[in-house]
Amino acid sequence: MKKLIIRLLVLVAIVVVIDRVAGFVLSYIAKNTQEREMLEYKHTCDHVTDDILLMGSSRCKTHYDPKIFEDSLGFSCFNCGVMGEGIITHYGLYQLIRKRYTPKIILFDVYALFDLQEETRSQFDVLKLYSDRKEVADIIKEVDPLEPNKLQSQMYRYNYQWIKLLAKFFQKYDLRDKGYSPYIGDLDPNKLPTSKAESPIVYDSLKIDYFRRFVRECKESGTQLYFCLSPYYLDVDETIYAPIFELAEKEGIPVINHLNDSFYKGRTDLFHDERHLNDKGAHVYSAQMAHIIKTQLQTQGLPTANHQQHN
Amino acid sequence: MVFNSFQFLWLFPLIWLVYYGVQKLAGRKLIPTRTTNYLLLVLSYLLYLQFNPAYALVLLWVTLSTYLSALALRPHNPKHRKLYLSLGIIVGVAPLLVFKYYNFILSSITDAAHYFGIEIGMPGLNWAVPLGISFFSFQAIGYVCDVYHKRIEAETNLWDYMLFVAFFPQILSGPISKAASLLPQIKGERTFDAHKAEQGLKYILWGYFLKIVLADRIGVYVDTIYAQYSVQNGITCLLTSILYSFQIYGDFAGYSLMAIGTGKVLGFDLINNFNRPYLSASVTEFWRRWHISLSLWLKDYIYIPLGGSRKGEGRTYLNIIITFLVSGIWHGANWTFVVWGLLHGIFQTIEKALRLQSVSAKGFVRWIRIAFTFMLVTFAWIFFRMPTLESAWTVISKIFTQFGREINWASASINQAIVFVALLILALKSLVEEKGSKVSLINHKNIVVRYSTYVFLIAMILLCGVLNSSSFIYANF
Repeated sequence: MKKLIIRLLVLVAIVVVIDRVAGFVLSYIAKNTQEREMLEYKHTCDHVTDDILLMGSSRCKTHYDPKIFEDSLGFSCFNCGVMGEGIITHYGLYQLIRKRYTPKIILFDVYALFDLQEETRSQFDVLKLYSDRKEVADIIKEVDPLEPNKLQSQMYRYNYQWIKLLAKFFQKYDLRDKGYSPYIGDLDPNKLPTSKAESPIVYDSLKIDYFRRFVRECKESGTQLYFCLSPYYLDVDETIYAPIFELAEKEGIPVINHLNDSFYKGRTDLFHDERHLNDKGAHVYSAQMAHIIKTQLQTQGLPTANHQQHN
Repeated sequence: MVFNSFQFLWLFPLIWLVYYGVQKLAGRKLIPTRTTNYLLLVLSYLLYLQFNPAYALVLLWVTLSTYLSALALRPHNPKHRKLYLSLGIIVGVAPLLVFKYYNFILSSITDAAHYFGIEIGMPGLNWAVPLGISFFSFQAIGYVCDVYHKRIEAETNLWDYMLFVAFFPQILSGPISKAASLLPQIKGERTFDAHKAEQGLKYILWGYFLKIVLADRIGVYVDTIYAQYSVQNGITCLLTSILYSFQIYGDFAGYSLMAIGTGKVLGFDLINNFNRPYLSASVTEFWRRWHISLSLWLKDYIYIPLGGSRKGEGRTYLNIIITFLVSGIWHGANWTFVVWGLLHGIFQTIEKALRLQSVSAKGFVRWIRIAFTFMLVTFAWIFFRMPTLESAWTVISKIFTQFGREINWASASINQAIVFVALLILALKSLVEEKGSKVSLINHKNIVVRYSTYVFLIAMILLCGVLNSSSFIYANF
């Protein structure tokens, strides 16, 4: 038994050393990679200072063109959307952001699958890269008390991501699209799934709690928050968003709801798939949203940069 | 305790240390030898209780009913042996039938009655199926049958028998042990075997690789495609089906290896459950290499009691079909599993009728047969994977009628790259072992090669594995 234990300890020691070396190398790669998502993500966490932030999952990333908001409202805008990530991740990003500055406006695109549904909790693919920051570490620990133990492994921290980071290490990419990542191509109606969109879900109480915190902290810091429900090709049962509607009503958060907007229904030229607009659809929708926000701001007597210039 | 969970990583070493300590004390006669068994029994029940305390009552029911039936079958009580056997099987299998099949039977009867215009309104059961019930029920019933056929003596020590049924490495998803194999190990004196423990740890490591890297990475793609199977073309469906064959292998073989490895660390030898099944040259051979413990169980307790191959050709074919219908039904309460089992029964019946199992093939011909067998098994797996007969049929018909040209990779090229590398590693290892080569990196005599292999596998798991404690496919049975 003694010899076996010694052999095991030697193996553990070797693995720890290799893990630390790998972590050092992967950390360097992550810091210097030109991989698009990573660049945008790092910009969001460490550098963004735009007046308007767009947050949400892939539907945010592909539906909102920041330049249209900038042109319409005269405020700088950045799309902080993260593919496949919901409120828990974005709350983490917000903690990192508010340490540096206070955005004027946040548009949060709510998508039930990632923002309300149980069983789709963040796998921390994005957050764990910043797990050495206390704000993020606290969130990770709350969501999964065992995760901090796993994060002791540097290789685990870069699980799956490392290939992407390494593959794009030598590419050149800039942030000219400001985080916007459109889908190109029209929807093929022959390829629509037969199942109904967004069937009844089991709510994740922790995610709903994170929404409450997000709302509270936005209000405390003076950020105007909007909940946005962007268009969906198929009909959606809006009652699944009841927790968002209730929270918005209670806290006075405007909800801009285009889920079942008839303008978008049946418009295969505006969609890439049943859940995502294509580039053309995103421009149409962004322009519509920018106009709505502008009108709301003017109604509230709040200046848009264009309005100020006009005056 | 799920093997691919973080809990296993910290809890099992603790269990092992405590068990080793108790074993050492027992070896020095400071405590009774039986203490190690009591420890394993308590641990097995505690670990099972954490899923749902009510499940333990079901486990206890199956254990006690089969224990008592076997005692009633002792030689000095010759009367009514068949009655006690029947009672033991019925009472032992009753929880399995109720929990797993009641709703299925009810809905099938309701649907059939509805077809004839008769409406039946009976309440269904909203009970979760106790984990591992299919496995431990079969293990217990196998024991009763063995006692009836006088292959083994009835176990008189209740605690030893309880451990036999509830042994934690195998309770959730097998292997299904024979009493003649496991009970003597439970009853015998076990001393620490460093070599066996080391082998066990290697089994666990390779099992982790198969499950977390191979199976779960394939699962990411398969789940994405099959979630929208109706919009995929045939070539995508075919690729997904092929990948699913490897997913279920990685998942189940991975689990079995972890179970066997855990058993070895504790000093037990559990039956090997997989033997490179996709290198089989016939479906009959496939079932000698896939889920070996279940195959043996079906042969000994269904096929042979039905008459096996002793009652003429026609009856033999019927017995094969029935045996694999039972296998299908055992796997799940859905007509898809029935069809899956039926297909395997039909394939083997045809092979037997054409005398294909007795024709050994070599070289190129063998490879053709391996490929053909793999495709037959893959098509059968479609029924296993899809939730309904209709969806399974849709996938199959797309393969033949809407093949198309472009594969839908689901925009996850990194995932697919990992899958490719993992499959390559599996293929190389399997081919080397199939050739009978003794070359094994994980068992290499050169310490640098061995340790490099360990580190490589661990790195693959940490860097490429799906590390969110995903469930095992066979844990649903």
